Amino acid sequence: MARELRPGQRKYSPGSIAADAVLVGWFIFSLFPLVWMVLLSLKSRSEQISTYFAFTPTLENFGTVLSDEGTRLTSVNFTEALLTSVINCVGAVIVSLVIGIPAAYAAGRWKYRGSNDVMFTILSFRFAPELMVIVPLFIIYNQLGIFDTNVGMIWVLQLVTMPLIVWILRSYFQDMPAELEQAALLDGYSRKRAFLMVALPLVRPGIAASALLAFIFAWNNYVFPLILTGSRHTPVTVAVTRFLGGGGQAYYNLTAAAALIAALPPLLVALSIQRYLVRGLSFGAVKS
Amino acid sequence: MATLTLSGLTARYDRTTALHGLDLEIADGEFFVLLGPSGAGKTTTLKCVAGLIDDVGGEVGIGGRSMTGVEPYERGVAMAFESYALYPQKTVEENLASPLRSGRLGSWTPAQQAERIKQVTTTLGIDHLLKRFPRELSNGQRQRTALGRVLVRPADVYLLDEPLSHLDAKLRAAMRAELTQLGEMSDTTTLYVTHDYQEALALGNRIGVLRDGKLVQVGTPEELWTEPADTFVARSLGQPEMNLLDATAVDGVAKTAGGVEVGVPAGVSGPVRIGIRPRDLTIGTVGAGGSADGADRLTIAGRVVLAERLGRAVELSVDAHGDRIIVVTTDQKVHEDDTVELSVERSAVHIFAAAEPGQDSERIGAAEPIRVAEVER
Amino acid sequence: MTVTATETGTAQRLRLSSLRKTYTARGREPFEAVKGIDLDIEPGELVALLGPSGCGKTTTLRMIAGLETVTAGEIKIGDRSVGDLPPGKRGVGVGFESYALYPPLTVRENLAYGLKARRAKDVAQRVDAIAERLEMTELLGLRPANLSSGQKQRVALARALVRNPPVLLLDEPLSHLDAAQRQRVRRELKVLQREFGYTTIVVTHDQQEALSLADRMAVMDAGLIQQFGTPDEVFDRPANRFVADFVGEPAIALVDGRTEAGAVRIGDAGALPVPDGIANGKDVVVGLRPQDCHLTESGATESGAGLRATVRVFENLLEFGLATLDLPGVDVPLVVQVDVTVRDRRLPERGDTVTVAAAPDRVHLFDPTSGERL
Repeated sequence: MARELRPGQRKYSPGSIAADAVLVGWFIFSLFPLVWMVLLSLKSRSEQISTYFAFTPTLENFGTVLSDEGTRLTSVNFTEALLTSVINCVGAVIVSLVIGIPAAYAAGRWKYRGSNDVMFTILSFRFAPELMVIVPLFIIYNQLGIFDTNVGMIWVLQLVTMPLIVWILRSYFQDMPAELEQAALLDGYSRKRAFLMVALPLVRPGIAASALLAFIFAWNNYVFPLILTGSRHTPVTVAVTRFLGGGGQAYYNLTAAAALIAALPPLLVALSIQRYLVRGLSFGAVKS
Repeated sequence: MATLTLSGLTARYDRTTALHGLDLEIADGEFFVLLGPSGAGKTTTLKCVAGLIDDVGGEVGIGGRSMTGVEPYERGVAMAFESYALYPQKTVEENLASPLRSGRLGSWTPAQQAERIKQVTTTLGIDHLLKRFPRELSNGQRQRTALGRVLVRPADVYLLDEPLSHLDAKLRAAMRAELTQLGEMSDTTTLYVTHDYQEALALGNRIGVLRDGKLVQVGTPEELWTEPADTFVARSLGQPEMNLLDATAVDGVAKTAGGVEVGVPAGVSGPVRIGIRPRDLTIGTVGAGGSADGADRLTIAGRVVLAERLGRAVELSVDAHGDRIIVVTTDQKVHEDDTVELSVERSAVHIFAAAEPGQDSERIGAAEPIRVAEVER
Repeated sequence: MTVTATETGTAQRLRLSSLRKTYTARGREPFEAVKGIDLDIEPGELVALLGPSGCGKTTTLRMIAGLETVTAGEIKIGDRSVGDLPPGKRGVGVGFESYALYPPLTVRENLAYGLKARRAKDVAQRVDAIAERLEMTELLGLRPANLSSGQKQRVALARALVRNPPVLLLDEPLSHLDAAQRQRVRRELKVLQREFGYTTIVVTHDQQEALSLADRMAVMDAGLIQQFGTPDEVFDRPANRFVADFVGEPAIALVDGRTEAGAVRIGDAGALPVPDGIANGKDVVVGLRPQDCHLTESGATESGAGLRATVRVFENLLEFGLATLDLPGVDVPLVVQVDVTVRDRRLPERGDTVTVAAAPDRVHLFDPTSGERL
């Protein structure tokens, strides 16, 4: 690697050491909640509210969360909640991709009167506070009979996943030279085949990255399932909070363990497609 | 093979007009070059012919048939893009086979495809690269592959967009010479776009000079060279570009600030511009030749300010009493600070209308001899 | 070409001795970008560093500027060894290829920035003076975003000049200009450089730019200087095959030949006379520049000197013509430049049989293995 003198490069001085110390301090402070949660998940019931770091670690909590004991405490089967979350989020991402890829392609390729307004509207779904629409949605869901169903959740999660996928993929399609498809048109392919043959394979990294991000956002969503699901199709985000008890006993150690289990699937997905993700998140990666 | 006709071709992007009513007729088998700077509308013209641009005004006709509403693949055109537009996920072979496999350009059995591809890649000297991906090719090889994708299929019209522009100077010169040798190229109507005047002069049966979406002049290379329609065309051809000296014409004689005098065509008076190509000037030392043949040659005395080597030739910046004139010579005995006498045939001295600095103006004609009677008067 | 001494007396001699640069990345082979180069540049001289990308020319420039550490060797400006000084204290002005203008600042502020950082007095006057000299006074109030690339290049140049540095380093100063602008700015740059008398190094990959700008030029390849000399020397007496091939356009033809008494035989095409003192019966590579070959229609000269050839292509570029010729028994085509301005002269056509001649001192012979000039 080339060694160049960069503007930021300097010798150590008392000032710079102090600045580094502040940064390290901030780093520890930011990381603390996560550390605390891991510690908490390893504590026994009796130790859960102590603030001492010395305790006897146990993995018992994780077992409890996943067992009938957990179901008894919260009246929600956590394993089923995990499955529900997977179904909802995968479903939401698939639906978003099926509709979002053509939408992003159109948005990236064609400019027409008001095309920017349409894109802004789509993005504004991400800006809008979920609480704003939750009451009308609750009423609509009840009347349509999709309250506490997977279909209902997949539908509502579109608000989370679709704008993300459309926006990320649009910039991919914009970065991809239109001449590639034009060449395919001249080679005798229809627009649809040109899209499938040329454009789609080139945005694969973008599809992977946006799908993963959408999956994580959908997975972490709390407000929609809190209001729009009952006890049959509770996803993990809601299930986790049940361990805090509804007026009764609060199980902080179990909550922490449940939260850690809930955090696992997105992490695994992210690690498995890390290669795509790094390339995909740096926009414009299509051009060589 | 077919003729190509553009009538009133107009194209708009958002609010800007890229083409202002282009009219052009290209004969069957002609090699026509569109020359112009970037942004002149060259690529837009090609894409209009190919049917890749929507909302085009006017009409494109190929082989006498109007192309309005005809899909790109039904127009019988093959196009090479400036960006090459090779499919990155396909090998060279698959790229070349793509037009043959689409099913819309005739049906080809795998054996026929292979034979056709073999034929084209052998001609272009890329038959050893068939299994490579575009990213594994050099620029020159990519360019050949893009050209191959054009040649591999039957077409009435070839559209080539700056096919040599990404190559280095030496490879470009070699490929330019090679292009003229391709049999397919010489038989098929070709519309070729470039910003390089040497390519235009070397390749074109005729050249159209494009500026700001309008055709400034259409003609053979010789016509454009000897009688450029305006200073834009004159400056577009030749490097270093034509010298333009501001002058004022009184009584049939145009005189520059530095005292260069040339006769102008009858009826011209007021401010004009005198145009002389750097390679049309020859060098003599002052006093050697005198101006005995002053009737058909214009002579200008000046001092060499800069002598810069271009290769075998030397480019001189000559200060002629305030007029700055660029000369290209192969005479290597001229040095800086020498006083020289430049001379040029009168027929090679162009008279243009006057214009603001940076603006282009029309050609009026060639310089005339100064009639003695007028000088005395 | 004589170098005029400067009135300001700021010009300084620049010497590089055994300058080396090795990049060592963890887990990789060390990469030698510059493999020991020596250059002695006179005060006020303009030297071009010419070479293909990756030849080490920009690395050399950056080492002189202090933007790159020196692995070994010495850089002297005047009598000072500057190798260990930070960039700001070396007395060099640098014009970057990417302009490196500060976007939020106006042109005036961009020009003044370096001066203010050094707490110079009369900042405003110096900026005005250089702006006037470079005909860019009207640009002073604009921001870089509003400039054309040609103007940006001029501003970058002005910023390098405004500090009145004894040594001026320019990295591809003309690369972003269009052909016509490049010619104008090139002449302007040369006049300015003469007038101010800076010792100047210009890095370029464009052989014509180097030939026309430089008092002397150093042709680099693979981290080494292949030849250092005036443009005339480099063009007319290329030190090796690489230099011959890299400098000159259209490119020199390099064909295999074999020497015999006072001549070199090329394929089955015939022989060309060569200067005395070349050993007989030796395999050589013959370099023939398109500008140095003369075409005659066959039959015109029956004397036997010259090469028989067939015209493969003739291109009339109106300024000159280029004939691409096939020589019998040679697989590389020979390109010959033809004067087309002579009236009534028959121009070569495809299929013509012609004879090619060249003056002995224009026939360059190289060793086939080492590539060195013979």
